[in-house]
Amino acid sequence: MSDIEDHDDDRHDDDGEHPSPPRRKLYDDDEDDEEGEEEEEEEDEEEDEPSTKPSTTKHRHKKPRTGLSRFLDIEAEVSSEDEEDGEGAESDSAIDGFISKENDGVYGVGDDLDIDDRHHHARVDYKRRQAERSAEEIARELSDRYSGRGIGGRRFTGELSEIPQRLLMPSVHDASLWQVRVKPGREREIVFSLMRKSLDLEYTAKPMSILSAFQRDSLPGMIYVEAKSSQQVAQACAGLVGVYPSRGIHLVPIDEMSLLLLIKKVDAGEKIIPGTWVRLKRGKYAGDLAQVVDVTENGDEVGVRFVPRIDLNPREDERGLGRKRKKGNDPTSNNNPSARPPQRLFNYEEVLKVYGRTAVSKRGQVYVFFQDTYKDGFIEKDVKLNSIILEDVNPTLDEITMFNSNNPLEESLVDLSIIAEASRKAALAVLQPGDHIEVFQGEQSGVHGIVQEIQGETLTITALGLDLEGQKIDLPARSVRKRFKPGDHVKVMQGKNAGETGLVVAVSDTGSTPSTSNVNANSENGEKRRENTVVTFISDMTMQEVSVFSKDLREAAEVGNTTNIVGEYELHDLVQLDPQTIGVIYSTSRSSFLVLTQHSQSRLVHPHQILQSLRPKPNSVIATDKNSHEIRLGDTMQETENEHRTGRVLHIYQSHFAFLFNRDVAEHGGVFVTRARSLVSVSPKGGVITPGGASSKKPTSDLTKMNPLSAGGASGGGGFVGSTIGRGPRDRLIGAHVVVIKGPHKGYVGIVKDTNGVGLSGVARVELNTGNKVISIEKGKLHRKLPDGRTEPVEGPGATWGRNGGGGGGDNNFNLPMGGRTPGWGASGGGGGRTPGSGGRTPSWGIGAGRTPNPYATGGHQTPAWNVSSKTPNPYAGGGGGQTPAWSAGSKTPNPYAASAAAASRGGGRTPNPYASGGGATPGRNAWGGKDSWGSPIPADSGSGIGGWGAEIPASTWAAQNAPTPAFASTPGFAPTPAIPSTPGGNLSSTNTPYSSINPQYSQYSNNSNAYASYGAYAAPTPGMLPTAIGRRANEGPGEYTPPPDWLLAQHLTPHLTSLRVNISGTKLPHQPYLDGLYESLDAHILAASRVADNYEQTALVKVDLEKSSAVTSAQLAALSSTPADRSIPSKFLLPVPPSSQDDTAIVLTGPRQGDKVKLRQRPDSGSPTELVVVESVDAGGNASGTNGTEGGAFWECQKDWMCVCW
Amino acid sequence: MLNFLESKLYSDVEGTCSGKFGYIIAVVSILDIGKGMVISGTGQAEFITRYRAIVFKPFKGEVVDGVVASVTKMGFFADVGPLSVFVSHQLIPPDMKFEPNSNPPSFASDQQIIEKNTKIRLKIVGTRVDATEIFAIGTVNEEHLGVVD
Repeated sequence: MSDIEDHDDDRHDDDGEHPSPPRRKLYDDDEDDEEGEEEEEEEDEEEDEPSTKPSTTKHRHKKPRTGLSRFLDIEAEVSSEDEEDGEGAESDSAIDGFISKENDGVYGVGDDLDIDDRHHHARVDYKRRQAERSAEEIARELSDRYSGRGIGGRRFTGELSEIPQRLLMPSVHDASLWQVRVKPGREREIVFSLMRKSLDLEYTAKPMSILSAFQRDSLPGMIYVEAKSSQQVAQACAGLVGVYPSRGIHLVPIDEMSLLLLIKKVDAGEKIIPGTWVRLKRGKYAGDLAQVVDVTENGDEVGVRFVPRIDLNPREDERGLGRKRKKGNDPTSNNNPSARPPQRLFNYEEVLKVYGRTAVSKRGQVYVFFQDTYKDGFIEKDVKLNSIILEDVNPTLDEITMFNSNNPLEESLVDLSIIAEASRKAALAVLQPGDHIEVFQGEQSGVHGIVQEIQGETLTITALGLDLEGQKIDLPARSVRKRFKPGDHVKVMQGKNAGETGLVVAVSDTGSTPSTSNVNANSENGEKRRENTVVTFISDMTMQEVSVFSKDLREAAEVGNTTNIVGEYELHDLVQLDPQTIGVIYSTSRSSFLVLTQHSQSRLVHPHQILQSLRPKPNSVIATDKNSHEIRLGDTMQETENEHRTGRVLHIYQSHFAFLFNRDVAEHGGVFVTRARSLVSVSPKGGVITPGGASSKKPTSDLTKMNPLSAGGASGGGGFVGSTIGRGPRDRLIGAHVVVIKGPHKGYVGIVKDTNGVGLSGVARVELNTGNKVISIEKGKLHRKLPDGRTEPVEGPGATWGRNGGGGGGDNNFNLPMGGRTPGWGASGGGGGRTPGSGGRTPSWGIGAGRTPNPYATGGHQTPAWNVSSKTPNPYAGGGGGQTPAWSAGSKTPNPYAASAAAASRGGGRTPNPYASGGGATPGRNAWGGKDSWGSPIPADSGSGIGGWGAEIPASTWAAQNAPTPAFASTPGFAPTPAIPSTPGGNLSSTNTPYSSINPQYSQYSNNSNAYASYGAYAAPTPGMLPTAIGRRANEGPGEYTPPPDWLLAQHLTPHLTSLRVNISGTKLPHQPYLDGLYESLDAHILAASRVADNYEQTALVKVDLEKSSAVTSAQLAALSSTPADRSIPSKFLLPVPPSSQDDTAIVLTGPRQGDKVKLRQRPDSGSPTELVVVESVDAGGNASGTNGTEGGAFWECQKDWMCVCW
Repeated sequence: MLNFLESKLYSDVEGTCSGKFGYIIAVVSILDIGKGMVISGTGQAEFITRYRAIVFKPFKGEVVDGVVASVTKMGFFADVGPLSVFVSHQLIPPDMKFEPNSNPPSFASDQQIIEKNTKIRLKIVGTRVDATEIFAIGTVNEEHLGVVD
């Protein structure tokens, strides 16, 4: 724009035919100092003036000028303008005058040249006019000229530095800033091309009217243009490649304009100095530590060096391709970060070996490999400033060690001071109230104390030490560091050694050079850091010295390690140490474990000594406890020998060794090993007593496991067990060869990998034989491929061994034991419609024939009653309880307490389930006892193989037997469903018999099928879960019980003393009223009672409870509400209060179970004090527990007056 | 029965270590053997016995005498009765240097030499108390500490 004036002058010159190069030069120099805008204004001014004062302007010059004078003249004129602008009018006029004189003086020297006089007249006239004007005039003119103008006006009101920043802020009067979208990465180029365009168009008809343009590196994809209107911006940007005016030209709000131009202080120039640690942001080396080697002049790029990650094991094919394509496959720019090779210093020989001589070359001291240069093993590279992270670098000792490993020591000194700097910021974050710190800089330097509170950057500490003792001092956080002294027990909070604990042996202070012995410590040698001292401590675990920054430490009381995972091994993992030895990790340290082997020996092992980790697979662990109950992982078991330790089962090895864990056991971290056979369960948990509920899906498998003989017997061989176990929910279809018969994959052959859902709409995942592809496809679109080449549907009609409805799965389980019978049901492929007719056919058995009052038939093709009966032996086959109600029902009912709800919801709704009623255990027995249900089918079975079952059973039988029977009837396989008997807790005294009654039944059955011959026998053990025996006790010694006068002091009551509810009684007897009988018949808490010498009366400190006492007289109320309610009363007046309602908690006062805490499970019919009520033993916490630890919630009967209720 | 209980007590208790009392060196006398209480369900009985015992609990700052058990370049371990004390090389006077070539390995200065079985006087600077053992670190880098004759 200043060129415009230049141009203008040129024009004058041209007009006057006075080329004057020197003058141009001067002009140019001046222009450099001036703002274009003023020039423009100046020019405007000049252009305006002729129009406003046309007559005078051209005629002010008296004298025509010579070239020389003109030269001087112009020079003066320009400088006058400068002065004018800079200093004001007075000097201007003075200089003007001087010029005039000089003009006069030189005038005669060069005259009469062929000059256009008119032109000179005009110029001289102008000058003269300027000279003639008074200073005031000029001043006024100037102020008129510049007043009211934004920047231009203000800018020259004084020295720039003195103007308050706020006055320089843009206002609405200024040109606006417009944001224009451009192609990211080309911002700078576009700004430059805008500038060039501006220069090009300057003197054309359409000069660009934008004022400025700039871009910010921090804002990719946009440039900013200063202009009066968006129109001008659009015009300027038109035609430039990479500019997207179509995406909008947005006005930048005024208050944001200055922010765009704000230069952040943090900038590289001063901060990045060679040696600084940075982290790389992108690519394969993202996150890697790098060290700045040099910084380029402009600060945009820095040279860094870092440890390369060269893939020394490139895949063969890649290498082959790489050679062919040269750069196409650059091993150093592997874009897959997950598979990035480890950091390793560049080794020429190795790389040469792998990549060949062509890929790597040596140039002087450096190697060049795929365009990267490697020096001293490091890769050296120039990177953009924005691709490195400068803040929060926090280099770790490890990383730095890597850099220092082959460096001379003195260089490492520099490095470490820089790390300290880098990690200084983090220092604040690691301080916590309670930390012991010392001040290392500032005027409080040397003070140490304990952090009280932290507020932002300020700490309040309580100083320790002689004269400052106890004073509270506020300090900036970065002037303190954590303080440790030898002997402190510390724990590493972060870093590689996190979790390590140990005793401090040395604190290397500022500048001191401890003669450390291990590698870690070496890197600290002689470092000058002040913020973080290096603390060396002896690890508790390994007895090795560990050196860490004090910032990473805390004082800690506990010993131990938070890191429970080392490598792929975790605390309490079962690991194989050698083929004969396995063990459980009970303690981990940074690089080693302590393992307890199955022989109860402890071993220190390192990860590499572990052959493998034996992660338990669900359901794969089989072991039985002392009572032949299944042991599951997580069960709480107790030893029956040795030390009677209790613990949670962590692992079971080979069904023989059980590893248990108990926090309270001190040795081996609470882990101990014992024989599984010596364990008993302490809680009723597990599938034994409650096959219902959550475990309902596999009740019978539990039974078969529990009673392996039953299953084995059924199949005539032990193999049966094996076939059952672990096979459960698996669909038989899995693994089958199938062919797709519909859809886009029609004709493809594959193998079923997985299935989901039943029926033809279920989905199977099929791995196609061709193309190594797995597809999901409905089963309806699949046909099984038979060995002979034929195909058949995988499910539904025609299927041989698919799942029929809810059945399926393990139907073979049943097939085996059922011998000839089952084929009719399970496997009659030839039978055509029959078996497979799960959908249409079978229900008809229930409904059509009306024989089975089939409550299950609801589910359409699920046909539970029959399928179930034929198949369900494997409970897994249930394919979900809902579909096989008979089973759910049957398997659950056994435990009416636990599972009645579940049973009702599943099977119960359909089954007129007698068990669901809860206590009514008897129907079950009836069902069993009723031989008809069994009796009648059996002959049929034996007779008719296929048709058998349903047909033979008279509907009436089923109905009469209550629906649950079908469940049982069909079940020979799991006849031992012993869970049943466990139900009737309280009535057990009579439940023993049913078993005997079952036996005949079984034996009868066994006549027909040898497979079942032994069922009776199996049935017997199962009841083991019954809380037998207990019931009997209650029946001892009938007759009313009168507690002795000192009953309260009985030792067995001591633990429960304060919870007893007693009644004060007998104080009103006429011959010796006690305290006037004031307390008569009140109920009271016992506060304390202890035996005194025999010749004194035994008393107890009680607190009467007026509110809860049943009979409180008004006199008592009046008298006692004022006096303290605690008092001592002879214990003979205190009588136990018998429990009166269900769920009362009571203590048994006498009898074999005296001292037990029980819960009433029956509502006593008030009245007879000798009434027997059903109670359940509970432990102190109120949980049901048996005293011998084996059974839970033992139910028994207790005479009411043997108990004293608790508050 | 009482004899059994006594011997059981001795065997169970002597030589053990608890965080509260430190090492129980020896039972001096049994004050009260207690009434036995049969634990229900197991057939075992529990006696709560009071006894008097000599205990050893190391404290920070305590000066003790011990015998060097082993010497490594990191320092040496000394046995102070049942207590194992580690003395780091950082807490050994700087003039004593580790002599890896000597047999047995030792720390040696002009005046004294620390090797296995040297009797040593040290000061406990820190203890770590576990459930079943106590570990301490000590220093010999102070006046009057070091080898005792």
